[in-house]
Amino acid sequence: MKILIIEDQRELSDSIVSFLSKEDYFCEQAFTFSEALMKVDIYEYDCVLLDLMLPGGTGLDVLRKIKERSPQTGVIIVSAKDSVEDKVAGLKIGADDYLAKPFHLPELSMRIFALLRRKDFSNSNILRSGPLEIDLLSKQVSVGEKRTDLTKTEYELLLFLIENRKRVVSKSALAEHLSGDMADMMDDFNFVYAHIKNLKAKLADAGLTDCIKTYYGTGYKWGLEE
Amino acid sequence: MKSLLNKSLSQFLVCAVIILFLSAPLFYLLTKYFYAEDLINVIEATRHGNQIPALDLEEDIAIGMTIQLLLIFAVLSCSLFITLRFITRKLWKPFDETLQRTEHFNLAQDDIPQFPKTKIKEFDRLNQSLKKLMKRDKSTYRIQKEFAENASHELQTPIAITRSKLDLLMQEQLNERQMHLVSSLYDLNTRMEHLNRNLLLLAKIENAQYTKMEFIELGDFIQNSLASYDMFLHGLSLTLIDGRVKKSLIRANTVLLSCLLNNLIINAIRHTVASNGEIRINLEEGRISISNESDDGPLDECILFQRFRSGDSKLVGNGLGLAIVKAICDYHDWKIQYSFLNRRHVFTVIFNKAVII
Repeated sequence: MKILIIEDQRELSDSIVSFLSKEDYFCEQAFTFSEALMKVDIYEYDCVLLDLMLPGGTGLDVLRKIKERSPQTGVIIVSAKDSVEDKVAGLKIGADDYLAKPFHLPELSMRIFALLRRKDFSNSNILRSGPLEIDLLSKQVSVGEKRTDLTKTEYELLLFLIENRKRVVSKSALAEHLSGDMADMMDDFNFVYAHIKNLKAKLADAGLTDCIKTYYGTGYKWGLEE
Repeated sequence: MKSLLNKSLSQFLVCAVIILFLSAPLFYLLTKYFYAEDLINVIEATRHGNQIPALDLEEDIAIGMTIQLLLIFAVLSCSLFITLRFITRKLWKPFDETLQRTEHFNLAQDDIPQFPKTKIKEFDRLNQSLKKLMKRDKSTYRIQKEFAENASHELQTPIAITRSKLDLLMQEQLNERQMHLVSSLYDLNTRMEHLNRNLLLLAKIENAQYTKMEFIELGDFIQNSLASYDMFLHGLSLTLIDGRVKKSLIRANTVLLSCLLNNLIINAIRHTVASNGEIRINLEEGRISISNESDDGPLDECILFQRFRSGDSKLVGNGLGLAIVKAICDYHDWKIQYSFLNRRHVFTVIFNKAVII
């Protein structure tokens, strides 16, 4: 999988590359508008992370170029400009997803994962981890043959943890992922703890004990291997 | 270009002279029929050899003087009245227009108004200095506005970088002490981001950047968003009580409206101490109130909606939530009220123009 990261902040770009390197992704970086235009013109990527505010031009022009050259490339707009207009403009031109800065890297990783899965038609809509199966279309979770009923929040939590399975995910990242628009109003993330507890109990009932490892109450990691 | 004093004096003089000329026949007739009347009679009588008629010189002088005085008074009043009434009004018209345009000037929206051209020195000076003042205000305002927005945008980058580094740090093999340090850094990072985003939101509201207005049925709007609060409830209940007879539409910006409701509802959830408390959303004609139970007394209404107010720190998140609520209400010309009723904190938003359908 080839990913192009178009982001003028070198440090942020490097962090993203370093975080994504755990997957089988091949990451390339572009730091300016002209560099970005050149790269999308010459190479083809599976996924492009695109910052809208670039030195030398607007990311929307890069997006147009990508859509013109290789329409099948997935594009996630990443921008500090979290205004509705930018989002609408980007999605209209053909971006697949939109992520407002600042974001958590596990969130980005999950979005890329979801995007690539959507783009790859050969991929099934079943996500597996050990005996656990998630049907992404019907949002059904089952362990072995047995169905497990999860609330919407618990399902989102489970999906987020599984899609970041090789990593430790912070409580803060989970909270942002769950609360979305309302994140700005929440200053403590203890609600995450309660939902994790419920999710763990339900999975334990289904026979999956210790599938979520807790790191001193601040980080979580999906513990089942394939 | 003339000064105001010269202009009005000369106009008054011109007017007085014109009226004096116009009233000249009157003076002529007055002189002829009162002062000269007896003399004419004497001349006539002498010419025809008649007896000299009886003279009423005394009476004529008295009546003539009175009429003369009245006439002079009338002429002067007339010219004064005309100058003041018509000429002065015309003279001050540019001033009036300048005043009107200044009164309607809105720093946030309008361009600098075009003042009417004038030949009067003082008015011209006034217009020039007003123009200069407005220009300066406008640029100061723009700089300030841009500063608030730019500062927020610029801050977002280091916050984003810090956050990404924390996410990376989290992947290292950390011991418990290090993990707790990272965790508190995460909390700080999140607080910074929320503060920053809320400040940006406030700046944007104050700069009137949410221009898209829609008609919204509040009952449906809330009903559709109720589920999104589920994850914060933990045993608390959230009920919507629609006490309206008919559905009604309010005119609002959807982004801001949901921000307002989120703030009030999340606030109510956060400050409900009882583990099975109830948060109520009461919808009535033209108003909505959101209330939660409380063990404490009423809050201080005076400082409730201020930014970063000090005081009971457990009552607020980052000190901006209610300030945002207030700003959104002001933006839509709604009223926000706080009251403490039956041991409940009640926040009421009163809409001004609910359209009943």
